[in-house]
Amino acid sequence: MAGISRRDFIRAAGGGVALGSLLFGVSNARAGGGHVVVIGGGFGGATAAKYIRLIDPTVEVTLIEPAKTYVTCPGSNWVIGGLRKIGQITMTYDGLKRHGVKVVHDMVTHVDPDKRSVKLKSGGTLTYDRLVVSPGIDFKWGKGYTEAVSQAIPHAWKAGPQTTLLRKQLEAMPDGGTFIIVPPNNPFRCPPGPAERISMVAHYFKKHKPKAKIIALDPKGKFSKQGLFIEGWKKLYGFGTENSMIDYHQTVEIEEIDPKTRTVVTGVDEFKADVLNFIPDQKAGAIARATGLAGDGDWCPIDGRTFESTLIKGIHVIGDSSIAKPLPKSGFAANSEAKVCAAAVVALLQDRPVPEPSWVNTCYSLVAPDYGISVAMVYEIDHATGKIAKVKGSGGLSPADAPQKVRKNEALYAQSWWMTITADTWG
Amino acid sequence: MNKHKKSVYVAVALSAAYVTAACASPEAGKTALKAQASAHRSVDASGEAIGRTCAGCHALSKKNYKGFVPVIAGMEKDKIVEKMKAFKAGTAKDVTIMDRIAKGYSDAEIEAVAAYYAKMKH
Repeated sequence: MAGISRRDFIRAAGGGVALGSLLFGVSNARAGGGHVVVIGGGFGGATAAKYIRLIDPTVEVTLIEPAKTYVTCPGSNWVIGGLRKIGQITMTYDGLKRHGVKVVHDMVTHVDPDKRSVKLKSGGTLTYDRLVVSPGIDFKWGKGYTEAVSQAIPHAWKAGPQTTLLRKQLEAMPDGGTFIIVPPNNPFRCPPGPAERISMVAHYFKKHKPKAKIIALDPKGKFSKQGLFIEGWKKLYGFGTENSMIDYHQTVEIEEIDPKTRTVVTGVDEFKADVLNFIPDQKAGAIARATGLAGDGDWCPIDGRTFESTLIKGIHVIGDSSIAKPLPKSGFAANSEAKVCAAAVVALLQDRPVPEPSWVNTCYSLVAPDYGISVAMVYEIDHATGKIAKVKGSGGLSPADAPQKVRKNEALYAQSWWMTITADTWG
Repeated sequence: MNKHKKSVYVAVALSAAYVTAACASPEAGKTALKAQASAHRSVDASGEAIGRTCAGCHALSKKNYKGFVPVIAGMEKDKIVEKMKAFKAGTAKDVTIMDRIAKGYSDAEIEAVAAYYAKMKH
């Protein structure tokens, strides 16, 4: 029972249920289960809402998400590379409704942790016994890159119209043009994402614009799955040769960008792009920070056993907004965190001990449509510290210099994974 | 689909007793740590806690499934245990990723997650 006494729990649950009943007209027969409000309908929020209902169908769950559909970030690089259409990675909330989740398309403008209530943009107020906050990421605008600039120079790091915009610009770019990508500083959503994007753009250029070039200007000194990506780029895109399609610069000091000329000004040189993809540094979603869940920092500290905030009782933070390291900020990790959180929320509502958690993360990336690589890891609670830890001896990267059959299998698994995890999350 | 949903609820109910017992006191965790010198984990998780993580890649129903990752729901318990132990030991053939993942679990956890999936209808 992290951070909440039995007396607090009973008082909060009692008050919440009474108000919840007034607002929703819930019958007395179901009132015993309590009311959980979930903010955000991405991998974290949707999974938490569904699994709370699966674990205890007496719990009333309300999911608040402004958008009617959700475009998954996993798979969005495949759209940019021309392997998928945006409609093929767009989910609806019908599946969650079939599990009895009440889906409200609205926006939470304020959370009152003392009254255990959330205010909606449309004017209503909902009370909760427990709140799950899963708002994803927000961007740190700056260095000449603003939200307004992103309408012409996409970040494409939240999938949807931004993904389509980048794809259209790449299609319109002449053969012989230059595509520049600026990856963000750590920590950020989807650590292997920028390199997968480079791979997918290279695949598209190889087929349709063989004279085009890709320049990566990375402020960091290394990137996720670096060895495996470079092995694939050497095999497929001439990396390291005079005819390399990809030129990857590391530890680049990014000074600013000039949106009018699509120029990136660095500590030593200026790089002019035909198509520029600037991915800003990131922080927890706005509602998490406004509620005080990030304290003075950018991300939200949590107790790994429950994902309850260590700063505010009764509120759980999952997905990219939370500090769940060594779990990465990925859709798979958010789904895995949500299941641990759901089991903990049900146990806490029932005043039972929280079950022992277990997490997995598997990140597949496509270097080409038939060339996949992965990193996987199993995680547990280290009971000596109470923190999330990697299970020693588990996990790791795909083998280096593996036969093409292994790469092809992982490409098939990557696409299979997308189908299964989206069904597990929204289906 | 309804059949499948039902099986999930049944599995959850069946293993609830296990979870409660395993987490009844902090002492239970310490005992588990001593008893499993060869285990990777400090405290075993239940079959359902581990099983839910598998569902990220392994579909829970063969109905309309077009993926390449095998469906393990409804598979015989012994078959799952045998395969997982081979992955863990590094002796399985045609390995893609499960060798890396299987090393994350104690033998007791492998038994528990196999029982969880064996009970599931597909």
